[in-house]
Amino acid sequence: MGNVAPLTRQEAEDFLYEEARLLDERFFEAWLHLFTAEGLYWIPIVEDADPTMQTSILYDDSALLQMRVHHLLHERNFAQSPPSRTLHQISNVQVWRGEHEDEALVRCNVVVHEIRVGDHLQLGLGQQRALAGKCEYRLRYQDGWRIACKKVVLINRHMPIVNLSFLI
Amino acid sequence: MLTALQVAERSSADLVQEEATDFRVHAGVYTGPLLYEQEMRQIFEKSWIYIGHESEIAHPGDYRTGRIGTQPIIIARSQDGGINVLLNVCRHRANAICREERGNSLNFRCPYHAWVYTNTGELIGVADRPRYPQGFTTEGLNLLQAPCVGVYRGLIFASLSVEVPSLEEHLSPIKHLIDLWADRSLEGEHKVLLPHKYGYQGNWKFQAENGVDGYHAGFVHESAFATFARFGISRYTQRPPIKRDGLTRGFPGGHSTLEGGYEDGRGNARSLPQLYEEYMAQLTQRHGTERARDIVSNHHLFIFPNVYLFDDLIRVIQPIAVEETEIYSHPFRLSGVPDEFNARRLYEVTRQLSTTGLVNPADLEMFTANQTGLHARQMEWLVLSRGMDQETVLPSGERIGRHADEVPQRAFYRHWIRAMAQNGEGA
Repeated sequence: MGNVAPLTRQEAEDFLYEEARLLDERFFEAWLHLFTAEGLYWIPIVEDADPTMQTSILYDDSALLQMRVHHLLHERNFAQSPPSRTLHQISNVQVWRGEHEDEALVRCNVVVHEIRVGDHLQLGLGQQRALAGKCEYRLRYQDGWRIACKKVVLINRHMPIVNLSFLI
Repeated sequence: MLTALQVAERSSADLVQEEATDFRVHAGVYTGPLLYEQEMRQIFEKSWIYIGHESEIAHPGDYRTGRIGTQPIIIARSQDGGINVLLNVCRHRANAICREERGNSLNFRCPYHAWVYTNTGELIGVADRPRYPQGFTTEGLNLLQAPCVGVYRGLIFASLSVEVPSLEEHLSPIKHLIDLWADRSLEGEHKVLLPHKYGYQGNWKFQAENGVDGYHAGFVHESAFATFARFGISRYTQRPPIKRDGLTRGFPGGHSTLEGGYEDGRGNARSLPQLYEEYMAQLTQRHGTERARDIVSNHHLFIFPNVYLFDDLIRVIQPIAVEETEIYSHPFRLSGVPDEFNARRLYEVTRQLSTTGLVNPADLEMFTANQTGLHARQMEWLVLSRGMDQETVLPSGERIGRHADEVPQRAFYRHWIRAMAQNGEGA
């Protein structure tokens, strides 16, 4: 590797804002490219549990992430018909160096506002909600910073969540 | 269209119309708030209800809170290993005594005035007791309990009414199917994990109908199946919208199955061929070739009125209100298999059927759209006649149809009528 400049908070914020933009503007395939080839995306129920031993709300490896995005864009994905509109708000960004100089640890808070409109008087539609959580990113420098692991710890992770078929 | 009151006043038998080849359910079954109250009293408080799995309260002192219908309970493992199903209410002034979902405690102390109960329900402490009048007795002030509790293959059932058949009798038509499900573990019983929790704005019976509905899958899940096929998950590559193999069963007692056959079997890490072969070898050694194959075949078993045993999970239906339902879908680990095997099973069930699964949220969307549709009050009768003239009826009353027939739903409503009309003391 060699000679990777440490990630600054400014750069981390730029990275997170860009990710949020890609998600909110539904550029999901571009969002996928933010991940490394072995990238993981994890939404645990028990924050520090082993995801191979305990239930997670979501635990995607690279193969499943690609499937998820393909499915999200499928015209007969009825859970997303009409689709979710989302707005990601990022704050409380902190940055640490990783174990190696090509790694960085970034933490932030996220609030995702979501609504599906359509015929808004129907049950399940027209209801704006907010999901809040903290995010932990392990970034790796591979021709630019990439996500090796994104972990989202929702504050309502032990609660029923209806139609979580969009991306946080 | 009937008003809610008219629906409630109607005999529940009049809300289900069965003729030789025509089966209809009245819309009021899903929309009437008074009828929903009747369901809670007549069905949920006078039947065996699945409340949890033994592995969730494995050790003395372990407890988990829950519901029977809408009544709050605590399922507690006592020192001697027994299971107590306590109503979560202090006998003093009716405060809920336990506010956590899970934990370990030998006693429960009411947070309001500090009355203390053992986890077997005995009242052992009244704060500042001398101030109660002379002659005051705590006799009769132990925690209320479900009078009937039974366990079969790790599954805990309870009834708030004593006037139920034995659990053995209740489960007898499907005991062999529960055994098939439980025999997936090589040693002992499954270990149940935390549930995926989700919900929908719709009546609880939509989920009771849908987990054994083979008709919808190719349509509702077209996008998921197409995605799986595109990414090379083999059992989806040749799947027609309506499966021609597989079958449905309906049983007296309202239980039912949807059986997709060997190819559709999930929860067995078939995508890791070497581990799967080793697993099959062990299953075959224990059960023989035919039964081993049956064990790993696809079964969705519905146990009336509130639980499904799937190949890869236990799904519990929790009614909240007439138009609101929660679902707790517990993945489980098999005992006696390598961690890698269970990890793969967990990965796959999370991919398909979790809160964020590629399959599951579309079903919930259907239930909500179903409830919306019923706001059209001129829509009176829903049609559940599919395959009715071609089903096989066995002497036991079990009926068998094709995979996409509405055999399970008819079995549900035939028993629903009986359950709604049952007498006896409710809770």
